[in-house]
Amino acid sequence: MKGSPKDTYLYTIVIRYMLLFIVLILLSGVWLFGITQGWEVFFERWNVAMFWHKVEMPSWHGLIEIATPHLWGMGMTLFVTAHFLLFGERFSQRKAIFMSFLLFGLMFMDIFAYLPSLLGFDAAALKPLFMFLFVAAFLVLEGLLWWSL
Amino acid sequence: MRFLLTKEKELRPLLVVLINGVLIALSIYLIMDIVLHAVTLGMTPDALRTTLYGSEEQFVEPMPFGTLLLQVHTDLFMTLFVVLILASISVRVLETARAKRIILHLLGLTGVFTPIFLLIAYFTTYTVLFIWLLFFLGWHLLTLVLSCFLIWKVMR
Repeated sequence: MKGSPKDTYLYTIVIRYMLLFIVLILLSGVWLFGITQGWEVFFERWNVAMFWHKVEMPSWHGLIEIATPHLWGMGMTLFVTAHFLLFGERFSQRKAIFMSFLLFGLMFMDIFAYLPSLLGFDAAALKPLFMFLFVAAFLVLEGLLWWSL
Repeated sequence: MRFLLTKEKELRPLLVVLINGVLIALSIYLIMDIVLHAVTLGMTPDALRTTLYGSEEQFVEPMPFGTLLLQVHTDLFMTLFVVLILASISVRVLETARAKRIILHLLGLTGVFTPIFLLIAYFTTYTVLFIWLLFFLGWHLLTLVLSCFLIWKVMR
């Protein structure tokens, strides 16, 4: 079977579509969180004391049900997206390593953000906080990747 | 994806086996995904209309928006990986750059718009729902035909 390995520039089209898909996945994920928790978690009552108690806690069963597919899905998406930084020439490897550490760290904190509350700590607001930080960092990664293509 | 990039013109035997394996799995997934959507949403226009908008005559409530959004969220993720796998194999295996570019844009655009149309249909009219059905079946048909074609190309 003969292939055409010389058309590697076409991978940039694939990567751009991937970035578009990921923006839509992030948006729909935030939207899902918003409709289950109520949008006021993000947009209203920025009085810290009120905000702190606004987020509804899932049960242990709920945490496992949400965390299991997200560990696979977010981990896989992050790995596939970040590995393209290995091939970018306009982006230093030190920055790529820093971004990857940051994103994987935020991913775990986002997925397990309900854990401290389930263990009895008063930390419900960690979920929207880490979700916001993860989405923002992922969008920065996407911007860097788009720019480095 | 980049593991497909080699300077060799011929694919190694291991890569041929791997590509065939993933394409066969993908083809079966695509068929089962149509069945899964038919079961959860309905596949005839009337069944879809009843699921999404409900029916007063049959005492059926409309589908909750959260359930639909979860479906769209999952569909986007699954579509992303199908597009990534098929597109990267197409770039490596197909021969002309023009054909590759057309396939990539067709895969990407129909893949992006299919879940978006389902979301828009929830808030608008039955016509958009029908467009979603056409896009859904079109994208699945495109990916199935492409998978079979790539298997044939790799085996040749």
